Amino acid sequence: MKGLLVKDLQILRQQRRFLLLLFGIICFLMITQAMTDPAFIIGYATFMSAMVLLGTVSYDEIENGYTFLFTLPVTRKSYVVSKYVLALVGVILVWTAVTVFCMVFAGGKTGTAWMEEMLTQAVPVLLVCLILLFIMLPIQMKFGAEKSRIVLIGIAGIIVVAGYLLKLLADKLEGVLSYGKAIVEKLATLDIWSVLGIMILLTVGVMLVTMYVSIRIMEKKEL
Amino acid sequence: MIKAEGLRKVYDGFELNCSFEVMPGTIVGLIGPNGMGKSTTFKAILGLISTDGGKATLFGKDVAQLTAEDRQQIGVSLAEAGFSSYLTVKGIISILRQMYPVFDAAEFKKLCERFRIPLNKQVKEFSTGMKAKLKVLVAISHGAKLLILDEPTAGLDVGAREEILDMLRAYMEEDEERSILISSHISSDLEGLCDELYLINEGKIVLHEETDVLLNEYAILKVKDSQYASLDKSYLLYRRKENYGYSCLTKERSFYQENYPDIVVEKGTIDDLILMVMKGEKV
Repeated sequence: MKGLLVKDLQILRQQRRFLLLLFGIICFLMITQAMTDPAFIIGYATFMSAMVLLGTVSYDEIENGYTFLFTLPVTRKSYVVSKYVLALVGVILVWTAVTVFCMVFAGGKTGTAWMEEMLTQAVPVLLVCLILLFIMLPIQMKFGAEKSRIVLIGIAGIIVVAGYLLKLLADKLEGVLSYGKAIVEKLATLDIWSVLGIMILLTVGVMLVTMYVSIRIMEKKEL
Repeated sequence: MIKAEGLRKVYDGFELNCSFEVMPGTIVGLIGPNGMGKSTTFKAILGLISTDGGKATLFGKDVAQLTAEDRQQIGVSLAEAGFSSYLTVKGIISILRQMYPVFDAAEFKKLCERFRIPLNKQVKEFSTGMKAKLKVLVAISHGAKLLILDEPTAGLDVGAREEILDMLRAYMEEDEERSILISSHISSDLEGLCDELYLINEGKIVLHEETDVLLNEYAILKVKDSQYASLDKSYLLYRRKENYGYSCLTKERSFYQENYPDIVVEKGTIDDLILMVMKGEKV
């Protein structure tokens, strides 16, 4: 697996111009916005890092890359695990760096105020970005860079249609919806630690399920 | 080293069904026109595709059971796949260092220098010859017991092809237990390299012979219609209708030379023999 991680780092190294540009944009945002809108900067940087790491899957796929990759001393399972390790470590590293920077430059805020902002904004941003990345990984592995975009648009479309149908059938589904409403109301009464706990559990759950799905996808892939 | 028994893969309009074996210490060539199953065979024995029947074993193990450690003993070069072309050779070296315990980076760099392969350029900027040489260098860089090389010389000029073949000869000389399975549609490349040749056509092995036997004992007879009528056909394998009569493939050159001194008996190149098998009809 170490070899696979080195491969991804080498691929990222070849994107250094783009990454430097991205770093420049984030630095600019941090210097100008750290005091007023740290959550936006943390969200932007974390999401962009997730997209860059997801991009390494495309680099493996192009020019029949998978075909050669799996003649090397790696298993398809270790390939998937290496992608999740890279995603997790990479995203958390970027998130930590940007969050610490914002904390240092946030200025004026006391420990408690900062902690509150972190818990209500920065940590949820990290978890949402990780969930998105974990969902994208198997889609990208299954459909490839080109088709996965269409699949994502399709999923977004289905969500919109489902929401519209739900609205249309709101009267008939009153019973079911009242359950949902009750859950939301219940969540609203929970303290921040409980909400974060649920979110972390959800993130870990999504990671494990999508990793299992990704392994199945890769093991069935005809190269 | 490799054993394929009734290895079967069915695609829409194509079926691979072949058996062959690569023994330790031998170089085995798989020859045949493009699109006749060479690459599919390679993918099947490397476990890259699922199969619809038969069995493939490497080092006596079912290909599906191969571990990462087993794969460290295999060096592979594929016709249309390799390391990402966005990488540099330096980047590839750091990957190989992690993948193979016996990878010798200094020796690899030395070979790159010898074959004029730049270390700091991205592979996508390489010429066809440089890419092909790099693929073979990667395959032989980690002391593998077995090389599986699909069309390593495709698209190269004579000089580059000879350089690659020399690399393979040197690799074999280092350890007499090593084996190579190599494919090519340029049979002259394999003539001087392989101990045995398998000829594949439409997914099936149509001829298997030691290279020496193929070159020394096989021959093409060129006969008129009247000569063909009186010819002893017991040792004829294939025949082909020609303007002058028939050309026939035999494995008993001496027999026809001695008994039919008035007919033309040509040794023929491997290409000539292949053409007879491909285009001719069985006698």
